Amino acid sequence: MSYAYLFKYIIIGDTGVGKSCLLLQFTDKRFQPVHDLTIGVEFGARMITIDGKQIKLQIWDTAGQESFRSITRSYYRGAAGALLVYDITRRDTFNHLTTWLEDARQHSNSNMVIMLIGNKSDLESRREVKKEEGEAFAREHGLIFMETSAKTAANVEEAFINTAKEIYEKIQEGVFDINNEANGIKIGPQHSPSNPALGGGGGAGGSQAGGGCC
Amino acid sequence: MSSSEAEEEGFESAGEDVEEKTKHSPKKNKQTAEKEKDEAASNESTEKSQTAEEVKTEKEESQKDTEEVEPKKEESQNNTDKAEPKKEEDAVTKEEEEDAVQSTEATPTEGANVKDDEVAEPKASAKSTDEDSKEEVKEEKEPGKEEDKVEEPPKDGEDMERKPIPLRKRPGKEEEEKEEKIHSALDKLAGEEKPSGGWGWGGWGSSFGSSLMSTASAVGQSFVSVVEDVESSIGSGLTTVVHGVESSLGIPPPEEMSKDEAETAKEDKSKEEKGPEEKGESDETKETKEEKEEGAEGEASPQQTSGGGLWGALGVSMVANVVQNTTKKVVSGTLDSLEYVGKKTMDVLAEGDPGYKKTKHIIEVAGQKSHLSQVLREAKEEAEQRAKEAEEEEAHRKANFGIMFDEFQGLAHLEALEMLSNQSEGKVQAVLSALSGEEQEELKAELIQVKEAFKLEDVVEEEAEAQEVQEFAKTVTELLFELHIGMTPDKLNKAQTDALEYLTQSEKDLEEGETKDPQDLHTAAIQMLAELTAKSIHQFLKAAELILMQKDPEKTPLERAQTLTKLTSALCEEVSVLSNKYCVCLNTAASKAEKPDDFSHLITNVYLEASNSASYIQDAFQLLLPIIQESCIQTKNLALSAFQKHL
Repeated sequence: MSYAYLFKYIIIGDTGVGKSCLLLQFTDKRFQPVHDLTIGVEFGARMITIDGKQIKLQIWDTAGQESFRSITRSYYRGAAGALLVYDITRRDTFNHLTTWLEDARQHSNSNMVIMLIGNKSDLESRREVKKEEGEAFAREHGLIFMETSAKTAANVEEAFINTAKEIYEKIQEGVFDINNEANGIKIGPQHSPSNPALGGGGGAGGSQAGGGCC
Repeated sequence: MSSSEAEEEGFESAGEDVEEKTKHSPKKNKQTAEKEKDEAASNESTEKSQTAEEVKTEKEESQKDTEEVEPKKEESQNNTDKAEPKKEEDAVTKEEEEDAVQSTEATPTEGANVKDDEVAEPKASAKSTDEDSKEEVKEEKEPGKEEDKVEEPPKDGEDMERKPIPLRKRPGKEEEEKEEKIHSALDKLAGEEKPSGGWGWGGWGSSFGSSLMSTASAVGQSFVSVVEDVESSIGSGLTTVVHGVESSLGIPPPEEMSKDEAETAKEDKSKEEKGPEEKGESDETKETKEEKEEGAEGEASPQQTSGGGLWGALGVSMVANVVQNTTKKVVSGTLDSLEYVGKKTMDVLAEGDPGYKKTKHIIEVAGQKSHLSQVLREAKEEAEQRAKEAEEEEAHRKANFGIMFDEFQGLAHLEALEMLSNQSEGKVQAVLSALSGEEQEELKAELIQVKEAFKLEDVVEEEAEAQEVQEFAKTVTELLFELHIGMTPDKLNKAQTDALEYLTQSEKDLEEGETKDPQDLHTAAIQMLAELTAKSIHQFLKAAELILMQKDPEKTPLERAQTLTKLTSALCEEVSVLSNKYCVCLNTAASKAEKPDDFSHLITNVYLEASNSASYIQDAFQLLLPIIQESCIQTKNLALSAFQKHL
């Protein structure tokens, strides 16, 4: 698939908060309750459209286990966006956010867009972390915030796409140097981004042109 | 100066009456000029000299202030454009002459000069009041003549171009209008080229002046022709409505005009360089004249705007040129908008006419009917075409190793592996440089040992052929177990099994006499290779991560290095074996096809990508070396700390 930009994302957060499930829901639109422990890093990719431009999201889903921390830190570098995930039903995962954030800020480029995600919003009855707390933390640290459910897919798309929008805006503002791949942004092969809507779009275009000349 | 002013005045008066027509008029002039040229060729010398003289005197009278040299130049340049208009005017109506006496007067002389500027110029110079100027002109003339010989070929070319044009013009006004612009540009060029007597830089300044004069005269001409137009249109009973329609239909779009301009610009440049014979006039006066003239020019023919853009290259009159260009642009822009407004007005007026409206309505309805089916058919064809292209693109994409490799996340795995590898290498280097003496030597020796273990044997391929494919999974699983990192090659084995299944099925189909599209087999083979490669690298990445994590390994780094080497060999063998089998299958399928030779490149491609795939795997394998080396250091440190603890 041809794309205008490629954004590299990383997903970080404590083990078991649903990082891999979020990725699976976003890339495959399915939910898998039982999951192998992520070793090191796994990958997912999906194409999205922002401002009429095809953007490929390349997502690095890191292992949350403490023992992998030294390795996963190596992967922060060169990410344009990060999804920092905690579990709203486990307060400790929320309490660890500061450590994660420090790690992320230390090992990535300073312009990286960070989205704070309170996952498992479907488990309202077991909620331990109020939405307001998440919002407050995000405000305090300059993050974007969202509560999602990988199980019901609530807000999952939005979380990934809003992050991409933020990155895209930063590119437009010139904050990101798209020619520096250390920023986690690559310029795609310069093909016409017309692949998806070829059949229908072509027909519509033709008739429009016809109407114009009459 | 005076001449240009006079011309401008004439133009203005005419222009007020019919702005739109001004544009048309140049065309006519040019056309006529061309015709005249042919005619004039016969009469050339005699008529030209006489007319030129007359014209000069007339001009001088009118332009009292202007220098003598300039009039000459103008005449020579104008000749091409204006010469014919006069004839037309004379033939058609004398009224025109009356309206624009000055312009008409100038035109006849120009017409005579049209063909041979050089001839005309000498005469003009001789006639000029100042004897000094005459002498200078004569001197310049000689070189100019020499140059003329050289330049003659181009002239012929121009003539060739022009000759066809008159024929076109005759058919209809619309065509004339279109051609007008081109002609004006051409005429301008022609006019400028002719005056250029010598290529030398000396003559340069004079060419400027002459070009200015010519443009000025052209303006005058255009004015005259405008008047002509009006009269003729009235006389022939054509209504302004018709004109409006014509102009709306016939006037070429700005793009065309700009093209013409670009062409003319080139020619202009060359002309300038050639530089006709000039008298001692100061460049400044010429320039000022130029500006004025160009302003007039712009009004007469917007096409010339870009044409003058290259003049500045010569540098001397840079500033003047800039001013001139700007003026041109402004004027032409204004003209364009005026023209647009005019057309719009015409349209509105035309629509106000009930009869016209009805006709238009009928035409439109008829046109729509024929259009609608056509449009729909075209739309359908276009959609089909695009769908086909999309399919082809998709097929092409699926048969591309690089794209499929990326699709299987191979690139991401490789990138991650590279990151780890670079990081480990940095650590190893840091530790090595921190150590000293015996410790350093010891560590170095161990690292070199590991490095030695990373050397792949090249001779394995022969054995691979004999090996059963089914053993691959077993071998890989065993090797990974040997690594002792708690990793199973599930994904790798699945990829291999899938590839094998497809192959077996295909072979079976072919044995049963079914035909298989070699293209499909080729795509499958490429996909198999891409997936196998991506999964292999994935396996390497996992191994690297786990090796870095395990702080108390039961296997020594050296043992792991050896195991990894074996694993790499096994993977490369598998790639080779599988691609061979696919190629055999592909060959069978191709031989059943109508033209087996058409598919030979597919087989070549599979082999090529197989070797690419193997080299990807081996490159990834080499990325593991620093990681094993880092684990070496880790174990050593652990041993050291354990020893220290023990003490």
